[in-house]
Amino acid sequence: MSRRIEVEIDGVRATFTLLEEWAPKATSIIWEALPLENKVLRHGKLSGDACFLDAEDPKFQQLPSRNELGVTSIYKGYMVAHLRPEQSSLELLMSYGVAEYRWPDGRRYVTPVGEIEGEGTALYDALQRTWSEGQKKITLRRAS
Amino acid sequence: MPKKIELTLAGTTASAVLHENAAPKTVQRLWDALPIEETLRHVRWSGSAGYIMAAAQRDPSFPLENRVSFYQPGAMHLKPEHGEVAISYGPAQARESTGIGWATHFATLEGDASAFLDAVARTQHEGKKQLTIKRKES
Amino acid sequence: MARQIRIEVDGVSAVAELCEDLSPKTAEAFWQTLPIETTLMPAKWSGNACFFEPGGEHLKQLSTNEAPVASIYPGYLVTRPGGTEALIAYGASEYRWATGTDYTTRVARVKDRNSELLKVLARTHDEGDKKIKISRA
Repeated sequence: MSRRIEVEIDGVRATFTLLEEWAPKATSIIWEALPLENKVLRHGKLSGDACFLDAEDPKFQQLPSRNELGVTSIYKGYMVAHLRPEQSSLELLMSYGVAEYRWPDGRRYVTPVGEIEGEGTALYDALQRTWSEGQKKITLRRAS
Repeated sequence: MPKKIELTLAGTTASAVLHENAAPKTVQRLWDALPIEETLRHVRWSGSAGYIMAAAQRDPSFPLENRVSFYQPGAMHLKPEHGEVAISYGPAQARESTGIGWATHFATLEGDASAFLDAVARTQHEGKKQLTIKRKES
Repeated sequence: MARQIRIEVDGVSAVAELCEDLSPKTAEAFWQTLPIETTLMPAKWSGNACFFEPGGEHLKQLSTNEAPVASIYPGYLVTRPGGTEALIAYGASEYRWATGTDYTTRVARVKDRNSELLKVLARTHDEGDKKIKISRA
């Protein structure tokens, strides 16, 4: 049974299943670093319908230097991670529509680490609102 | 007289010239490891080619020589970081999951290698086959 | 609830859910094409995936992608505009041709990430082509 994390934005909660089969090391280290509380969630500029947060933790130094499963497309309802073990940090992104991880110099690869459970509309709305309303606070914690 | 190798696959045989001038370290390392007998499978990212994983050729610190990205039909290439030896039979490129890469072009098949290359191509639809590479005595 | 299809290869089957919310036109066209029984072949540019030709006329009517993606997540079935080919990924996969990366449309996904079907698909790397049957579940 995969471990699950709860995401809270603007009073909206959603649960993600950790994709342990696809990224066992990355998901394990993220799990160990939880909770990530009151992080700043911003809308992406280059990656389409997605929001991102940055997090630092000494545990992230153990993140793999290469993606265990590399993707550029960020499917709706999925959480992906751009791993930065050399900086003891990572960037997490969540998509509410059509999204692809991009930098000014083109597409880059990330690791899918979580998939939303259930229907997700409330979370997608909260994510989309960052486009017009600006940054919001996000908390990720282990789901009970 | 350039060194040559003989390849055998699914009842077919081909001969290849080793490019000692363009890839001297790679050629010597391969020559020293012969004979090699490994499973040839079709590539999944690089197009029209088959590949073996040759453990003795795996060395992430080994330099690329005669560096290419695109593979010409009938050419043999090594990716030292994986120990992957590829034989291309059509349009192919050194690619991986994260994009385009590079390899050492160290040998080229000579003469009529069409039956051998056809056997390489058939691995896509028929599955893996056993490849033998040995020194060709002149 | 999304419509479901059954995918069978080498006697192993799995249920997949159509991506009707993401790709309604493509999902409908694929549904109308069923049943499919054809050859499944290992990909040579797109990584850990297999491809087949769906056939039929409905997918040919589609000229554009819906919610396009380049990455094919494991367990997802995708097709290209015009419906000339469809792919199912069993591991890391990206839709590519000789000329580079391209985009595709998600049609269905196998819900069980541990499905035995994905292991059967992975065997095509060693074993070559197999027969695939896809039907309405």
